[in-house]
Amino acid sequence: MNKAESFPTFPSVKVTTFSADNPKLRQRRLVEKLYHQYWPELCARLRHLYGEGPPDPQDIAQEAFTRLSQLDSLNHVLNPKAFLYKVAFNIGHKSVGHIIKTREFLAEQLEDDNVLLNDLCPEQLLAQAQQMEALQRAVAELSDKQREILLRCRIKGQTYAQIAEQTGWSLADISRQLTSALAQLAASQPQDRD
Amino acid sequence: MTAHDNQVAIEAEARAWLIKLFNDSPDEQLKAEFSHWLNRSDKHRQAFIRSEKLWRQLGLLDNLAELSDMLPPQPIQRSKPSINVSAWLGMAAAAILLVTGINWQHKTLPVSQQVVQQFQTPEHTNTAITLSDGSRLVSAGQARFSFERKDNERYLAMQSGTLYFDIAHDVAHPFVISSAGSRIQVVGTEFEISLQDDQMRLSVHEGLVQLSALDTSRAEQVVMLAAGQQQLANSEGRLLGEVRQFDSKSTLAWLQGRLSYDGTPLAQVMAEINRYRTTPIEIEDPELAVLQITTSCRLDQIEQMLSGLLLAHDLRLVQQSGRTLIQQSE
Repeated sequence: MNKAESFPTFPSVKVTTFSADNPKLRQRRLVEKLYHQYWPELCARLRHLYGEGPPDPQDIAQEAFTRLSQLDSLNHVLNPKAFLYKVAFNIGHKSVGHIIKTREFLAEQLEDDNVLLNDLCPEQLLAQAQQMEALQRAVAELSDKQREILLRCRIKGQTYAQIAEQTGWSLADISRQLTSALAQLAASQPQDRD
Repeated sequence: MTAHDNQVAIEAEARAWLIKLFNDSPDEQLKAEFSHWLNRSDKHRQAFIRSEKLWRQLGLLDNLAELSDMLPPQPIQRSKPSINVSAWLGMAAAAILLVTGINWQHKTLPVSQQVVQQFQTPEHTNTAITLSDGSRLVSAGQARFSFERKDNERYLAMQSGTLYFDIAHDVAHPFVISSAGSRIQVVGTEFEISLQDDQMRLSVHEGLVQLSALDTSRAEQVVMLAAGQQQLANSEGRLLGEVRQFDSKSTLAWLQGRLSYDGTPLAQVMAEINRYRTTPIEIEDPELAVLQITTSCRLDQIEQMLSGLLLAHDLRLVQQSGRTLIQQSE
């Protein structure tokens, strides 16, 4: 039986009253609720992306919930489910060997540890809301092929060779499609250059 | 070329570099070329920072879950449960130290004198041991047992813990395991024995294993277990229940450095976690002991898994007179 589908078989949860103005307790309840509601779905989606791993889907899910419970505040998160998925997918992506090496190199070159950590900060996400909306629209406007290549690279962390092996597309075509997709996405962003 | 055209060209180059760098692990030549390009001017650096930021933002989209559904599923590549070879190699040095360190017989004993090797494996990790007959064992955290050759038998007395056996084939010298009121005899096969409280659980992964319960007040109870079968017995030498099938993937997950549970009682989960902990966690509440748990983790993630489990089930750990108890939160 698929574990993700069978999970969880929880008994009734004891209800504890708590002060509504206790943010830590409120956050704990929120993470607990997410865990109950989305563990099977999250594991299923991670398995869809990474198979049985590595990275192992349940390890990623476990780490994602741990990260969420350690955050100072989830107050700024408008969509906690989407946030959970983002955390999990980024953990998955960061676990891919060649991605780690590239990020380490870029963090050193750009002298910016954010490149390496790539941690999600709810407050920063809120500040970037406009850019993110534009980016989401731009991704939707890509061709199916461009979007698939982009997601395989950026979310699954696949190399061109792996994509070519699984899709039958040539390496040159993959490179061209990705170049074109990134140009379209860049054009969707508000102009903040000097 | 106008300044605008120049800027557009730099932006395109920045994206091309990003694509090259994230395609695979960059080699030294690519790194050097990129570094040279990046440092040509501040415009180059700023253009790349923008591209890299865009790349990161792609991982922050609200509809990532839906987007991921558009991708075909990852092809499945699974292997049968087996001892991880690299883990064996990695643990070999530790195993040798363990054997020589704990063998309490003096090295100059006469050849005729039997040599008993005593083993006590550490918590926190799995330990691989190769016995003098070539049989291989892996302990799940803490385990205690002794091994000797006597008469025509290879004899292992198991006192505590969980061990996975890969017995070297030797028809002339049966491998006999004495464990909590039971005697297990094999010729060459793979199986797991787990001792917990006053129960012994035998799970056969490969080949045939003969299990005899040694309650002298009863007629001899013998069962023959085949691959995929499991039997329980108690320390009084009685078989408990019938032979049953077991899920080797989850039962033997620890061999791959994982713990895996699917609707497993909390008491059993804690017993297995405790093998890897210095301080055991105890359960006093009988209702909690049967709480069903479904989760899995790597051995080095046990503490994280424990935190998640406490959170999900509204539990807490309490220190009481030097003991660590798991309780329902108040």
